[in-house]
Amino acid sequence: MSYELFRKGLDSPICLTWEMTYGCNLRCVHCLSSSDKARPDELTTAEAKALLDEFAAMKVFYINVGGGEPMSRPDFFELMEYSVRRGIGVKFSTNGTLIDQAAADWICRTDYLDVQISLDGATAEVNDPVRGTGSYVRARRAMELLAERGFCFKINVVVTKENFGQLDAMQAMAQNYGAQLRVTRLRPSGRGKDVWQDLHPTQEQNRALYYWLKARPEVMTGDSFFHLSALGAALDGMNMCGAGRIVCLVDPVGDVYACPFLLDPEFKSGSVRDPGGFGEVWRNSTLFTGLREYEVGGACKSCGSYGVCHGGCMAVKFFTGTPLDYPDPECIHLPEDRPKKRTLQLRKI
Amino acid sequence: MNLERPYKLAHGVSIRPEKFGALLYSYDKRQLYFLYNKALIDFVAGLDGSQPLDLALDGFLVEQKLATNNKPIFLRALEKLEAMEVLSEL
Repeated sequence: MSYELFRKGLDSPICLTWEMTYGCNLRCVHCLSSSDKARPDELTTAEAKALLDEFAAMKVFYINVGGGEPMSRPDFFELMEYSVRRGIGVKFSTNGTLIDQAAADWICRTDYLDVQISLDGATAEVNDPVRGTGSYVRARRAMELLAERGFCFKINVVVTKENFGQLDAMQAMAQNYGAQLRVTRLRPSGRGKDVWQDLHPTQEQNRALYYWLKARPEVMTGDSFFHLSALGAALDGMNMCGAGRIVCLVDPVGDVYACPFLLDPEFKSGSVRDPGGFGEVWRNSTLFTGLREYEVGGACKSCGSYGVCHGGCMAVKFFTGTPLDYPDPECIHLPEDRPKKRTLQLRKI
Repeated sequence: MNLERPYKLAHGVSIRPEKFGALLYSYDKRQLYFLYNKALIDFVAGLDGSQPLDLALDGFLVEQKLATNNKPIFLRALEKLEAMEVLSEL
């Protein structure tokens, strides 16, 4: 039911991702936005506040703030406080390296602020090859600072072939901190394109992940594994591609893209610096209005699982060179055992 | 649910109209809810806590030219919203 309502798009996004800066002090091998140094043309503090005003006017309930490392922006705290004051909740994603005692205190006393710390392994041996030498210890330090203060943060894990076997350990780590575990899908976007083939989970791991998640409804996914819902009952979440329909991305220079995993000129719909601002791009850009009419066709349409996965993730297809009308490259059905769509049988009574 | 008491949207809950109805968001619970019944949405969004729920609902049904047999349907939906902590008694 919700798929039909939402695929035509909403008047405003439910939430959107705002990447505040391309600057980052880490060089994760799978970085979606290929972050490195901040760009000189990133939104100024005044532009960023005007953008938050516009989100507030459109009643965007909350924003996912990322980067780059958002905390590396000198006006990070000022902008987050401004957002919360305007009634926009903040969920920000950080590598944790810049969380010191003072930042941890600020996080704890700020309302409607959620924090997720990225960690891609339960041990430095698994995490550091992906996120960089020393990143494990620094992220754990940030977690300790927040846990000491009784703050419930999230640990975000991008599931890879290498860390799949550590999911139980990651969940135990989260529980020990009084934190929540969030697992997300590896996308071949940004630098992720170069490592996706080597790091993405095997089909066997993906299948096991579905049952692992089903048994642990407390583990959050940001709706990123909806392609696995094709295995049976849908996973929690909307189970659809929300690109340009219910979500979008604003990048550090104000360019608007269909989703955080589609940072490519082909999926750029405009800029918040254009006349009409963000609202005009959201409501009327050719790309977004087109996406609201788009449905994956091809072999997926005749598959019995189409009703739960709708053909999977557009970004993964796009960056692996898969035509958008083809099944998701990580589709858990092999072509020969894709379930047949059941048709309604009419019987005479 | 106490019909003699005024109600309004709970603290930290925001409502936004959409083509299909409305989205409700609870900032405290970080939870999103979907409402599809437009009349119910108008009623809930218009609650200002100025009068008892019973009176407010009667007035709304008259104003919207809705038959009184809609009242139990509204009340069931309002009870659900109260259980979800979207609506609260003043």
